[in-house]
Amino acid sequence: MKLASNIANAFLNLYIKEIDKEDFLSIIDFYRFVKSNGKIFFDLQYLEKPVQLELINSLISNFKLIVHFKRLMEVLFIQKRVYLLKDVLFLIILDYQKRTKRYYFEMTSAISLTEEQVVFIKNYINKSLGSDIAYRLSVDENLIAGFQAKSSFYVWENSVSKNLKKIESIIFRELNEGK
Amino acid sequence: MEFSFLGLFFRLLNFAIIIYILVYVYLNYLRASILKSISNSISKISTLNSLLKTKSDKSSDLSHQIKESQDFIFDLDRKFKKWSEFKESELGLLNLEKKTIESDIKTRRSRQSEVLSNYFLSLEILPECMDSARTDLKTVYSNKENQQKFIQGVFSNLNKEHFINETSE
Repeated sequence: MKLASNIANAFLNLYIKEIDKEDFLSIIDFYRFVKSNGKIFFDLQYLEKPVQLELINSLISNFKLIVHFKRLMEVLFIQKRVYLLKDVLFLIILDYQKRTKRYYFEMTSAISLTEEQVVFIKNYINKSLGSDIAYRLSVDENLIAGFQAKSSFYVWENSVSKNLKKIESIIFRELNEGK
Repeated sequence: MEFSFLGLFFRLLNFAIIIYILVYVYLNYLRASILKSISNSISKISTLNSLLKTKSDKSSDLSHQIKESQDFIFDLDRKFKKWSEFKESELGLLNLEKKTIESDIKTRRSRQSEVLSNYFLSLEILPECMDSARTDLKTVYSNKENQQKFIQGVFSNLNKEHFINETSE
């Protein structure tokens, strides 16, 4: 993990100014992909170099990653340290948020939010944190009603599911205290 | 019998000789041993007297000691009686306290058992209640209008909070 941290730090030291909000979201998408397909990446490091380069180019263009990721992945492939890619991406995402105060939020709601509602939530979080956030939207019916905005550092949830859990924990606590 | 002076003279002489012999024997042979015997007797009597005095003293001491012992025993007996009375009363109090504590424990156990039985019953029921509430709420919020109302409710509360914060500043 220390090596991954060093690589992530070095990458951000060099290119942080070139990563905008869209690039950041692309990195997050790429991280998710790597996280769910980590085993395939591990096997790919044993391919021929031209094939590897082609694969890297394809990933860069498909995920719309900044071009500097090409160099990073080449190094990892050549040094047969692709197993570090997931950790490196994770640390880049974390450090990027810490350094730029541009936090990434997963906005999940029980039904699709209107544009106005999304803007409202975004503005509220922006105001609370004093920074501009990046986000992705998703729907999760398990929330029953309401929404949840979750980042690596903050969670803001207003949902029926959360309220139910809260009520359950209060009842449970009361029962235990009464016992 | 005829009285004669010569006869009387010889008789007296005879008597005087006998007396002389007796005095002579006494002075030369008996006196020393009698005096010694008397002296011995006196010495024995003196020793015996001193022994008697010692014994008497000892006897007096013993009597005194016996009296002291008797006093001590009497005092001890009195103290023991007093202590017994005190202990009996203390034991009575302890028994009373014991009964109170036992009764308390019994009450507490019965209450605790009741609370525990309620607790376990509640624990058993709680998941079912929560599931039932979840199902009901899902039915309520299957209506999109209700969903929107919930979100708007959250937003309006936030607006109020903002308003309060801004005015208070």
